[in-house]
Amino acid sequence: MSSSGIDTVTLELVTGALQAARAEMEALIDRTSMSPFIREKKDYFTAFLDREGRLVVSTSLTLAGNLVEAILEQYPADTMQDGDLYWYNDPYSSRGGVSHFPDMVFVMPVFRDGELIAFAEAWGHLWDIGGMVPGSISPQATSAFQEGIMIPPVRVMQAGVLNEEVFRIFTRNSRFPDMMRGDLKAIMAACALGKRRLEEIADRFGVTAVQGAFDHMLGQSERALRTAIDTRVADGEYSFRDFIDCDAVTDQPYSVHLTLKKKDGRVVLDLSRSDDQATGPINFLMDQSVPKYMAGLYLTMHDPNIRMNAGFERAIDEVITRPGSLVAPNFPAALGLRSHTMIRVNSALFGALALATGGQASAASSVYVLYYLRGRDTATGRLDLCIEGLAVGFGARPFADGIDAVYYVAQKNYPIEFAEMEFGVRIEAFRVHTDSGGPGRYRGGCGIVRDVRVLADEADLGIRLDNCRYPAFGVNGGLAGRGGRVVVNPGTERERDLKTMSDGHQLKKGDLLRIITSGGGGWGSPLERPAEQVRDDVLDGFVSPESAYADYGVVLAEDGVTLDLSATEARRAALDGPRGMFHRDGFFDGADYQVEAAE
Amino acid sequence: MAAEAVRVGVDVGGTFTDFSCVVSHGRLFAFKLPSTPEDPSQAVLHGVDMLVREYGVTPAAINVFAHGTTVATNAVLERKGARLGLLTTAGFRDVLEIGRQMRRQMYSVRLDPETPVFLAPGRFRKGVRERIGPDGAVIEPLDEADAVAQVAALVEDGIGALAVCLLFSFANPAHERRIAALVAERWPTLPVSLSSMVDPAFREYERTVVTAFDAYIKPAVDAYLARLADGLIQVGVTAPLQIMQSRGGLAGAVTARQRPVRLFLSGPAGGVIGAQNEGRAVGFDDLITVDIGGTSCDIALVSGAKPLIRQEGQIDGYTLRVPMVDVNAIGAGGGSIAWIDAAGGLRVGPHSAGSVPGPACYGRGGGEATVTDASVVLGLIDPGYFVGGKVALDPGRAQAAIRDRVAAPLSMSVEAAAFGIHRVLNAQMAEGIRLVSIKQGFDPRDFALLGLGGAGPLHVCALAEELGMTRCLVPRHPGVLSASGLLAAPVEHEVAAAFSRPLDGLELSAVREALTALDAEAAALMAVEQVDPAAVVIGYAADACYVGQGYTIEVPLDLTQPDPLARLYQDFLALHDRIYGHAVDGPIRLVNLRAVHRAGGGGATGKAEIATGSPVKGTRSVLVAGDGTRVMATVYDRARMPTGLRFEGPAIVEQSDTTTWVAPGWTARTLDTGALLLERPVLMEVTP
Repeated sequence: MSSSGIDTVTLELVTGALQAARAEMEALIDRTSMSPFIREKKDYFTAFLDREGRLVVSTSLTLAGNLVEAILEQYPADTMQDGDLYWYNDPYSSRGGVSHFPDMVFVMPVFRDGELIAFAEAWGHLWDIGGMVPGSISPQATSAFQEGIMIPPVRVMQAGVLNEEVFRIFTRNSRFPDMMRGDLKAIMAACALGKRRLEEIADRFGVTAVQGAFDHMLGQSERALRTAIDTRVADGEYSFRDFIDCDAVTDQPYSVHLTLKKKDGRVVLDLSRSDDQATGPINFLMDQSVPKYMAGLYLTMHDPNIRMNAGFERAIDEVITRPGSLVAPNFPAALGLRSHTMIRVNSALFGALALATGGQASAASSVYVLYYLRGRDTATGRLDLCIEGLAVGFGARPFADGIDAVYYVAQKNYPIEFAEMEFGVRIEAFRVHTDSGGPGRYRGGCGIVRDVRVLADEADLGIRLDNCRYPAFGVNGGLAGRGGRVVVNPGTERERDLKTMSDGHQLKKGDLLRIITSGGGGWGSPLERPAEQVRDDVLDGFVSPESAYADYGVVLAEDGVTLDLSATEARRAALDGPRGMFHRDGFFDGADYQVEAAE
Repeated sequence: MAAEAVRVGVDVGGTFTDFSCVVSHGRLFAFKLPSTPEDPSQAVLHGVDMLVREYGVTPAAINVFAHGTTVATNAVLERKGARLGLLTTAGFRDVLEIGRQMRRQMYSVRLDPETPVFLAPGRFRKGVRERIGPDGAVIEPLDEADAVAQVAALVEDGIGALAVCLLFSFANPAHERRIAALVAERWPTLPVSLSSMVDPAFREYERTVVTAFDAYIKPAVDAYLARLADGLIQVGVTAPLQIMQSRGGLAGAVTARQRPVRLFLSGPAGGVIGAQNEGRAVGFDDLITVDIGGTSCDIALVSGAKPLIRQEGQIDGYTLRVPMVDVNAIGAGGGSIAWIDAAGGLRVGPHSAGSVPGPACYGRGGGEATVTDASVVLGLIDPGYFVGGKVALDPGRAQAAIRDRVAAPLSMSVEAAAFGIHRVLNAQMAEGIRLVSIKQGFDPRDFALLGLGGAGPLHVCALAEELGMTRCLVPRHPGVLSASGLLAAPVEHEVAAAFSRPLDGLELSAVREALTALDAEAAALMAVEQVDPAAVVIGYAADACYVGQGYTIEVPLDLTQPDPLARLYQDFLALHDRIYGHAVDGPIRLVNLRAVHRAGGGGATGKAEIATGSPVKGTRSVLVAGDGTRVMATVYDRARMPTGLRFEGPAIVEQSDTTTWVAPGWTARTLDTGALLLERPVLMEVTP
């Protein structure tokens, strides 16, 4: 028997059934949605929550939390009926239930014998919900009112009857209503499937066993994270500040400042010293669960049985934010580019953990890149919207290289052959950005290069490429990753660099847009990386011979293939080792870099 | 006997090489030999030798020699493929590296990249100047000198095979074909795979992966099949060597060697076809098969006497866009180890004790508690009659392992622990069955459950009860069904091509024209097979989706219908509704067209002789609940069970290669084919 009174075998069976059902919800969205965002990029999320609204089983994405609290406030649990479906996309009225407007949250309560037993939930990122630009998200936005229609928590289906009026109002606000209808249908069908599966699981094992399994999973995650913090973090305060290049509207950089405090078994994450909210759309209306989930996922990764759920929320006692700051902005601050801040919350947390553990934390990762190319046919006025998400390099880990060329998590890029058939562009190159991964004992992941030829008569461009002014930092002797660039018509007389976080650039037919993305930070001294691995990186295009020599102290013979071992030994002896815990424009320890940046 | 035609099916597995031989008058011989992993053809030839010496078969009398092989899979799992060169459009050599920019998990200690970069690391990938656009038009002509120079550099670096995947080659294969010709002139022995031949469909990364795998395994498959074909000729077998493909159809070795990427599920496909044939012989067209071996469990579904085919599968964790029988493999079998996770949960597998040291009860030094140990504790397996008595099991060790590893840590009785191990394993397998059935819109209650492998028949009743199923079937030789499936499979050639057109306004003549081209290709492949052209049956299908959707559904295309395209649309809606639970009356588009040419198949499986003597061996006490409840089961000897024998559970049926558990409440009966049918009344139904 377990603590919940349900036998351990049954618990295992219920847990397995819940996970399989959630994966099935995801597969349904994946296979029946219409928009490129969902069908190719996999920008969606599915979950089960218990009857209190606590997340139990979900996609491992740390973008938002507390998905049903706002619904329960508007529609108390005792007013809910079987067959209801609730809907919102508004981060403000859900207080961070989602974190930007295009993510449509649908929630279905699940009943057994007249009792509310759980919620099935799914969200997906819709292609266009109105707002100032096609695609709804613009780096230029300065107000939430420019970012599309806002849906507070509403009951879109009551006891199985769909409110078509709400749907009509909503789809009228999209530039691509057909696509949106298809996606909404897919997300809603996933919710209904989740509900049905939960009912079946409750019938098979009994409601008590399901509730017991929920409690068991929450307890499991809570204990695992508490144990990890207890054993790895000594009592004390650990502070780290990380920087965003700018807010895309002004040139001003912004910082997330996180302090991890641990004392007498109490763990607090204090973000109140983060900068004031930004003019541009990088504001992140952060639910308190977000940094807790980040810590939980990272600190329990050695145990694949531990799931991301509300148990992590109980293991960290408090998250402190300051209203009006970058991570707790006041309405109607624009939120479209919140990931830039969200990922800095993550890297600042890793920085604090590095200080707390003598460097046993990952180096920083770069923020994924998006460009918005809005093409027009001058004769017909036809609009071609091309939004592509591009990969970056991830931070090296204390035990392995950073991952090369990934977007974020569980999200795919568009095939070149798809982009060309759908978007009126020609992709002319797609390759690894050599030398962008921070040198280290473990190398940071490399970013990519994508060349895009404009085929529309004219087009305007928005771009969000970060980590150029403040590249992803290296840890424990590893060097920072290298930043990217955005260049139009490279190698010609008309070559020009664009600001990497900006919007409103005019392009015309035949222009070539080259987007070069940033890499992740390295971990450990590059002088300790086995020379054979450095050589392989040179041969495979991740590291240039010049960087092998300058950063790693590795010398290749004339043939460019063979290692010159004695020259390598001499070169490595002549190079200085690391002089600080972190690296970015030189080495620094926790506090130093803040001083430089403040100047 | 010597004058009679003999059909031989040989399935090579990791541990055993299985033979199924049917003589024209209907007599069946089935036997197993240990595999010879260093050169799997040795065990095959050894078996032919046995047929000659022990069963009096004349090699020249063998008129069918069908073979299922794991050589393609092993080349990947053991990384024994060719040093591969990959040629791409200039600017895109990193497509294989970058993949879809995807990773499944945020953080993980797992280090492997999610793309099969091992096939061709950066230094072995080169770009060549050329470009074709989405409509197939040449934007930049092929720079032939550049192509030759790039291949020359790769050859210099020691490649043993070349894959070519250019952008939009599915729309216009001219550049790829020209490169193949240039390579053939200069390096005539270098194996080459072209993406426009291997997988002519859109999405460049997916196409690159298929093409690269094809080239990677080509030398290994080619060498093996050549060696086997030579060996067969040397021992006097004149029948053409036929190889099972992943879709469940046979192809002549000559063709199989050219398209090795279609062989990854060669073995399991034989099992599925064997199951289909076994079911059809007793009038069951809808079957779910569960093949439980020592380390894994393969689950597949046969609907309307046709195996389910999926358009992409997995090899070593990498997704591969090649049609294959839809077999869902679970890392759980008889040797799977039971363990307690960090949170005190009871888990089974995926780690296995294998055959060495094996389950604790083998007494070969294994101390872990396995599923087989639990079966011994429950009384389902007779320790004195395992593998027909060839392996003596030690029940004391089974008890001790379950007590120490599971019961004591969880503070439960040994009986409850053993029962729990079975419940957890059964739940995993039931989940796997749900995956191939309910999740694709099939209700398992409409199906019969077919138990295969050494451990399948032991679990079928429990699985059927969990899923609300009422009929189970246990073939006479559940251990060699893959081999007998080889004898039931048709010769099949499938050819597909991209055909991206909205259905609205599509002229049937355009479809016919495209299919004619596919037919010509398939007919050319069939011409090599020595089959009667009049016996060839042609089927067509289209991959279709709603306009805007990314995944396609394969929909049959019947040109004999009055309005084939209208029918296709209706069938698409019905399939979409079955699989996804909704279908709207919206516009659809075709993405690919496919022609499948088939000949033969479905031959009689033959029948083993029934030994004389009483079928009842005795009785045994079996645990049927975690609280220690026991029942007394009658034990039967399968070899002595006459046709029409009927008995009630609880009963145990023993044979040298498996044990069948007939649970209380079930009735068993032997059928004409020798198969055992288990049935229970439809009582209160649980929701599957």
